[in-house]
Amino acid sequence: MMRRLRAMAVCVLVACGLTACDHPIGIVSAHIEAADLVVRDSAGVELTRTSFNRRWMVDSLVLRDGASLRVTITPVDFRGAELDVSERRDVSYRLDAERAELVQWEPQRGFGWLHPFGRGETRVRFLIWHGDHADFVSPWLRVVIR
Amino acid sequence: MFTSVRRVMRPVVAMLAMAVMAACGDKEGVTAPEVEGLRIREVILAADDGTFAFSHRDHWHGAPVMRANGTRGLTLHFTSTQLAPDDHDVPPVESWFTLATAPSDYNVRVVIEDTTVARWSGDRVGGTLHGLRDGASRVSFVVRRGSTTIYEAPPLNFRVQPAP
Repeated sequence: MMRRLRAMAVCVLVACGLTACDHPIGIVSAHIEAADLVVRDSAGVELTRTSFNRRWMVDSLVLRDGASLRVTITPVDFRGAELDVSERRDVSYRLDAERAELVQWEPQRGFGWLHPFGRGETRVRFLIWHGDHADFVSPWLRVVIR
Repeated sequence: MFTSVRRVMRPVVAMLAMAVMAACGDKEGVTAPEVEGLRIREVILAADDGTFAFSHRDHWHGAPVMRANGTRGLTLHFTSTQLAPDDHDVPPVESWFTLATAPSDYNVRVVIEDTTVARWSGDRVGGTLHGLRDGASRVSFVVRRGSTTIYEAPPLNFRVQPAP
């Protein structure tokens, strides 16, 4: 009995030690377990969404030079349910652009602006940024600025 | 029975408590020493016409626009505090400062990605973006003390429109 108790306690200690190395208790917050992403315009109209995070259902986004596009980005879980991350202060949306001089992402609370900076074409991808790492990276999306 | 269980478990419980306390400790302070001197967290570019753009962690709010053959005068303000990731308001004006009175070894390096679109002339307090041709590019602001980088803003997009 005593031996078993002691063995169990040692196991708990080892587990505690191992997990503490990678995830200090004080800084852990839940990851965003997103399976897909939906992009909508300011009227709530769906512009495109990812499919199993492998491709975009509408494979390009068209912007007009000089006209910024207000979009909302919504993560979706594996059941297709939308995830509300509006109260999460440790989560933000970022944008990677292959030709970064052509488009700038300006996040706001609950939405963001896609600012075009001249005519051309590039590819962008959205990231759900959690603290110091990405919880989600979308496939590349073609952006055409006319 | 319970006495012996307690005797065996007492050191284990103590070790557990120590492990939990160690795991809760602040790990950041161990590897991130602050560079002595000014603490810079954001940059605000104030244009001569009263408009401004400001950095916010990984992105910018606002962007300079000018004409080819035109100029954009900008004063470089900084703040030593950083707004929360979801707080996108302009940093309070009373918190802005320039490097005018900073020690002489502070300098600002301004790098334009495509130098055929625009060029920069200025010093650590401010300067001028000169539009050279119709196009778009990005500009980076790096604050250094001597040769040590103490702050680097995310690249800022800007646009040069065709000359009128």
